[in-house]
Amino acid sequence: MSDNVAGRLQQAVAAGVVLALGLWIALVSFSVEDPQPYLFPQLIAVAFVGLAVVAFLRALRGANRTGSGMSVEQLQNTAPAIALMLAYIFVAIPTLGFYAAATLAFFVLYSLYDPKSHKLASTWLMRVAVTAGFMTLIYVVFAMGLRVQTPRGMFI
Amino acid sequence: MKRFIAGLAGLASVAIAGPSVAEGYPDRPVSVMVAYSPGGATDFQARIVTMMAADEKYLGQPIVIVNKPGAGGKVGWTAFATNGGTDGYELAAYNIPHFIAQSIKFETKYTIDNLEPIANWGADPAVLVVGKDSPFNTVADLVNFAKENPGKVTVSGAGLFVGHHIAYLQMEKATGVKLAYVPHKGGAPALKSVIGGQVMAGVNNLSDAFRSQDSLKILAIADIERNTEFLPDVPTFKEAGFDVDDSSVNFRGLMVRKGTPQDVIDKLAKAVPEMFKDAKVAKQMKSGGSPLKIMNREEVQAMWKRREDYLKDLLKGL
Amino acid sequence: MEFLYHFGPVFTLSSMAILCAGTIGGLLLGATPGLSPTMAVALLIPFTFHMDPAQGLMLLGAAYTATVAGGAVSAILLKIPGAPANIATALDGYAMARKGEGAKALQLCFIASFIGGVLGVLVLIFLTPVLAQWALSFGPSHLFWIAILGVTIIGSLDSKSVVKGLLAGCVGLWIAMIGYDSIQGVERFIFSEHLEGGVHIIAALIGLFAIPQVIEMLEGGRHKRTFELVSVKPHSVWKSAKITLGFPRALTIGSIVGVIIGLIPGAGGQIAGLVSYDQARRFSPDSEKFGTGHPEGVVAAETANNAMVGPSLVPLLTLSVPGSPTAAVLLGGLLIHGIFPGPNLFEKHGDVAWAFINSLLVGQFLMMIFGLYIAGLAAHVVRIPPAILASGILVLAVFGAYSVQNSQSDVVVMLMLGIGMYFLQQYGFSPAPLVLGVILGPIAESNYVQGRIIAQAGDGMFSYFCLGTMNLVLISLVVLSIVYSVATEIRMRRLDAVGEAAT
Repeated sequence: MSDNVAGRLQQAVAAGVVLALGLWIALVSFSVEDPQPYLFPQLIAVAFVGLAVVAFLRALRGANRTGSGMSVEQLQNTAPAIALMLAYIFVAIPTLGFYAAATLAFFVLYSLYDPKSHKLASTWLMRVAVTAGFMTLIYVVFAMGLRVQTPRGMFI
Repeated sequence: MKRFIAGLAGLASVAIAGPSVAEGYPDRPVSVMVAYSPGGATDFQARIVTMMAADEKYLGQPIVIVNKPGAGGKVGWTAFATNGGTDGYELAAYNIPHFIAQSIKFETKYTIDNLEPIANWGADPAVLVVGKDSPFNTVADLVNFAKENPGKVTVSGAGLFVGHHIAYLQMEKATGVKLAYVPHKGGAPALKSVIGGQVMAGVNNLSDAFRSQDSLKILAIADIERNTEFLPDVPTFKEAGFDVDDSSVNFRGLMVRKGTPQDVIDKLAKAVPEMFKDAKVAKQMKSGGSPLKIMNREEVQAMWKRREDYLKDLLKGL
Repeated sequence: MEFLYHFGPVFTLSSMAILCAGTIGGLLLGATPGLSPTMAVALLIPFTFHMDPAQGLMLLGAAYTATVAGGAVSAILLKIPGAPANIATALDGYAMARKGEGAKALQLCFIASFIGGVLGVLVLIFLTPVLAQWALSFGPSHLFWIAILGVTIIGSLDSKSVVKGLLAGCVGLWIAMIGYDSIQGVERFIFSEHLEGGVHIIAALIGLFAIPQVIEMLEGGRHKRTFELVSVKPHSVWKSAKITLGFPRALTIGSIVGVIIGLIPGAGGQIAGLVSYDQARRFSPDSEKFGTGHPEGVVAAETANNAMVGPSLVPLLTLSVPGSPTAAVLLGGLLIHGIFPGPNLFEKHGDVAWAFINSLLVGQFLMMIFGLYIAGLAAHVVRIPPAILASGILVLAVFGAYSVQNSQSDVVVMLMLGIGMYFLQQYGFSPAPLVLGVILGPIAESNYVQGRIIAQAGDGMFSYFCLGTMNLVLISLVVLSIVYSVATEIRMRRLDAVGEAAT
């Protein structure tokens, strides 16, 4: 059972990050001038820090029962996807517009992780066709159905 | 990185605002942001008065309501005044005195100076209500009880520095008694607390109280005159002997952000009041117990200014 | 029996066509990951503009029923609940799907939904006058304790470790505090401009469940499929019906919990499924099997979800206080047609109101029929290659989060929460307790603040919050729940010690 549980160091770092968040919440909640609106955050902060300390100590002892942690391979495989998501939201949407960004994000993510060979023309044709079909569906539902006003960039 | 993103966002907003052409405006649906939750008086009135927008006589495009509730309207109006579009496709509903009072009382990002009114559709006075089984039958009953039991009378309303709260503050000042204000998330939950007996009294919208008349007693109306259309038998506070005027009357209408092209504003200012006057709108508003008060852009601009000066004085004293 | 007189307009050809359209549309939209049932109802409202009020409301009624059940489809097949109500369904439903029992799980879910749903609507039809009065009596102190009761469930929910479960719950409670506080309007924890409007529950739900799933699907890179594709074996509907009826305990608990929670104004049908799941587990002799793909868990969660639909309309129709985001959107649809909820709704608009309620009843049947058909098609959904599925879910999540309130900030919050959740998940934290924290935080806080003002004006904090039958009942439930959680933790530690000794 211990082989699928992450190592002590990884678990300790994860628990440490959570503990740090708890300490920051506590710091903010207890240092405000008007404590009235912060009564609840204070209660939460106390419970949060208490639990985080327990989790942290357990991680240090190596007594964690859950969580498989991250492997280097997993990081390598997921990093492009996460980078693409961030670029999609923070860069593509404001510059290109909502629909153009979505089309691009869908196409790139699909192509990046599609197991089919990049060298065949038919693969690319398939990718373009799927993207176009999917984006049409999205446009019908959101623009025509829900009448959502999406931010426009260079394109829609 | 942060600066890079901010730069890009800035670039994008320029691209969005772009050169606007009022010629074809509007060529796609227009959204109206409502700073209160669905089902509240502002929300349903906004839905009713905008339902005819798609008619060629008015805008020729439908209006979609987007709710951004929270903190008595602060969440929605802050978002609108800072991030709302200025291309005429993003409108918002305003509530006077709420947003003006908040802009005086807190450091808000919205004031009457960075918003442009389009037209007013309604004026909903605040009313004082108690539960059906309440021992209070007049405002005087309630005030006398509160004099003997200072701070014991709980009064519900929809948040801080909204019309309800202003009427409450005026009532406290006029009667000289201490009450306990219980802010709620909106008019509907606040009224529910009165009907359910969780609080002893409430200040609420005339329209909501009107529809729940069977389970309530409406003691007084915070206006200059009685409302002859819906509640002819309910006295004003002044008639009941307490000096509470019409400063809490809730004016509702549509506005855009400053920076919206003038020709777009002009077009809206012309079409929107006509849309409010539609017979179908009037019928639905009446069945909801909601008084219509249609004012054009100039009238609203004057009203905003007047209200701000007035509220500045009033809030100083409260 | 007044409702029987109003069945006429429901059983006309055009009405039935509308009901079928609403049901199919609701099921499909509700089942689409990233597109919440709330959005599905919002999507259908404009279509009702040009219908007469009765038919427009039938469409909305059928859609409302169907979306609540439809949200379970993506919860079971993809572990992406469409609405907060479907979180509990994902716990055992997804585990079943991984075992190849996806079709069975979906069938159980629709049959259980039907049973709960019909009971719920019958409660609405026959008991509204009585229950409206009862629903009114819930005050801030009661709602506060109900929220605390929900908090006590957090620890034991979908987590092997009570400490991590509670910690995730704390993160959720804190996330709910971000933004302007709802009563006083004070800014709290706004460390980014995107947080000014606070964290919307639907945006949080989409991010916390959908984004980690998207990343997980891609974990294996281009060629290795680490994401275990769910296989869906066909399963007999009759067997499923037998299995569902074989859990009378889960069905009873689900119905009772769903009805009670649905009735409470403002508590939100959002937690009905979770509370019912938790209670069913406590009373079940197979409580260890919950979370590993136990059919009873699906039945308990889905019965409650749909049993809540009818009763949640009691506070909605008589007090205009919606219990969930979807109900709030539905309310907007009613208002457009001049149906103003209020105590005299049935006298003033009796025909339309009854047509609406009857459509909910008929909608339950249609939901089950079409739902069972969709369960058969589910296999096709999961055959979509992971690269396409992941890209599609990502785009849908972005659009779904944006369209809640036309806010780019919601998209940013959705994605950041999702990426954060992916990493936390690798260390044993789960999204379910976190979302529960986000839901319960504001209920607990605003009712505590209101209750305190009322208590200080009245007889003081202790007597307001702790005395009275309803308070005492709720407090004892809270105490029982805590005792149970502690007992579970101790038992788990013992098991752990045994396990460690063995290795």
